[in-house]
Amino acid sequence: MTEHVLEADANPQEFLGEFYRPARSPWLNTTFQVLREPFSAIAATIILIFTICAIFAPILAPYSPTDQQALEALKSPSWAHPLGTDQLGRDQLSRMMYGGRVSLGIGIGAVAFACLIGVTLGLIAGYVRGIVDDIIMRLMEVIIAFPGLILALMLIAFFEPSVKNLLFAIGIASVPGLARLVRSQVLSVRERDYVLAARSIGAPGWRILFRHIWPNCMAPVIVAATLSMGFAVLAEAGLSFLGVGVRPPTPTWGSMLQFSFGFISLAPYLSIVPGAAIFLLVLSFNVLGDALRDAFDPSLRSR
Amino acid sequence: MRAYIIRRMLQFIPVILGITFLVYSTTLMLPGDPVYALAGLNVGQTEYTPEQIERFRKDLGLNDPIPIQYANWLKNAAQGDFGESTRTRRPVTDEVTPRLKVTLQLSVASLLIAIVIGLPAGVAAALWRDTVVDRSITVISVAGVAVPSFWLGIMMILLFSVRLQWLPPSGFVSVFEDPVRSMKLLAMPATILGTGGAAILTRQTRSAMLEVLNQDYIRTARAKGLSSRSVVWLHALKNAMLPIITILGLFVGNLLSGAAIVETIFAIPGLGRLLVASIGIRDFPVIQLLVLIVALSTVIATLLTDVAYAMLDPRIRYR
Repeated sequence: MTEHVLEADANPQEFLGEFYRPARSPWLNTTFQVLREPFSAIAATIILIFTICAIFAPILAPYSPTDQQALEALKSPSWAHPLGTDQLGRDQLSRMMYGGRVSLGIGIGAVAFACLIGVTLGLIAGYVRGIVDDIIMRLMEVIIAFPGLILALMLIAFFEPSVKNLLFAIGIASVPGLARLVRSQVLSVRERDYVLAARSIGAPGWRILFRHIWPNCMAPVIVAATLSMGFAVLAEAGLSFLGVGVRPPTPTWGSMLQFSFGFISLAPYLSIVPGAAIFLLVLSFNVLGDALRDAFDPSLRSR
Repeated sequence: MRAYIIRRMLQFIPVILGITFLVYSTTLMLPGDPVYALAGLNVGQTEYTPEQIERFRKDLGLNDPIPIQYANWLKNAAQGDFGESTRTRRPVTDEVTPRLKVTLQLSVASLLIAIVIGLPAGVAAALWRDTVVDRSITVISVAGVAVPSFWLGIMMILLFSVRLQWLPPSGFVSVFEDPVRSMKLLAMPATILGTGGAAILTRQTRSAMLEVLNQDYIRTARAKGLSSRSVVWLHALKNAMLPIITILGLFVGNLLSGAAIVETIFAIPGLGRLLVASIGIRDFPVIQLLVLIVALSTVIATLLTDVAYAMLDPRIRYR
């Protein structure tokens, strides 16, 4: 018996034969599992394509996004301008590519900010407990009372709509959800046997928190962060559409929609494309988030 | 039951204090001297002498310590005095009240649309689970959550107003004045505002129904020969109501923020459009009252959700 175990340890491939699978990290396993689903693979591809277009916009874009060619105004899609031109004669495809930088950039920035604050608050609340926990959670209840877009609108009204303030205004809406999520994870993880084991061999509190508790709280955070990306992209586009987002001439998908809304009967393609891009990107983040949730916790899979 | 309601209401007091303080404190965070923003002046405006500016500051109570300022603001707010609009110089409440009725009509219409679409769709998806019906409903509801309301609005205007010319593209008439025209005008905005709610409601109803349909009492109801219609609509849906009510409560809070976008597209003179316009001209007292209305209605919706929970499930009351 013991011999077999030793043998299996020494050379698992030979011992297990056709049942052998190389050891992989659980994270990598989850990634593969998610990408095997056709819908989430499509979603990941869409996000990847949009990201590449955004990063390499200066190389890929055929024209400058702000260059106005009066003679070329309101041209329908053609070989020279695949998505047509707007009423100032600016190439719509180039503007879409540069607009993607704002959407993705603010989305990622806002979610990173939300994770930083939300995870920290959740860890503190769950680990310290007591009065600190009460104060943090009451504060989160106050923030939750403001619907995401209203919170962002209020903050933007009182501060200048710079990129930094937009990140903050959009990100803060996701903070309470993340903090509550991490807190409940910490409360359950801190009672596990391996935490008790670490404590019993005299590990200091910070080591238990960062080495044992924190990594084991991360899976649901990744799911929530992916879903928050969808909200952040939608919120940024909504704010830009309302004219309180990033200032012109920087193109954003939301402001492009607003700008061409008046020309809807003359040039419908100007309104269709930016909105479709927002829709596809948000849809992709939501589909990917749902797939990640199913992969991390099969018991939550929507039956 | 009354004890439970009172206890829940008491728990909301700190939250309401927090909300009012957050709304009030935004003026403290204004860049520069708040006297300019609150008195509706431009920085460095020369037609006012420093003495006049100082008088504005005194009238607005900006020389008092912050807790006193907040207490005064709260005292006035409790009496319905939220200051004057810096644009029209009229009391803020006079600006907001007529628009409240407009947004309420839009919200009620959207809520009805969300329920009329979401509930049957969710039940259908659960009943015909893993069939084409279920898959199509699921795909549509996933798309419904992600679709930007402003884009959906523009696409609907393009189809129903520009191409087919069935519906007027913008405007508002109260349902009490001209019901037919009001419904035509509200059809598109209410559908768009209701879409997100309908989509989430569908998903929630589906999973709640699936949970309930596996229970023993459903098998018993079927076994004693009840028609499948009464099993589904009376026995199953009633027990699936709890999670559905939570979603509806959340949706009520989001209606008002969705209204900001939808009212802007369809030129509806409601709270949302007023909020966007006030942000453009930095009319801070109006913004404060509007944000406060939204936050308090979210809290009230949460409270009503909790009460509905306790009424539907008596176990919750004794926890």
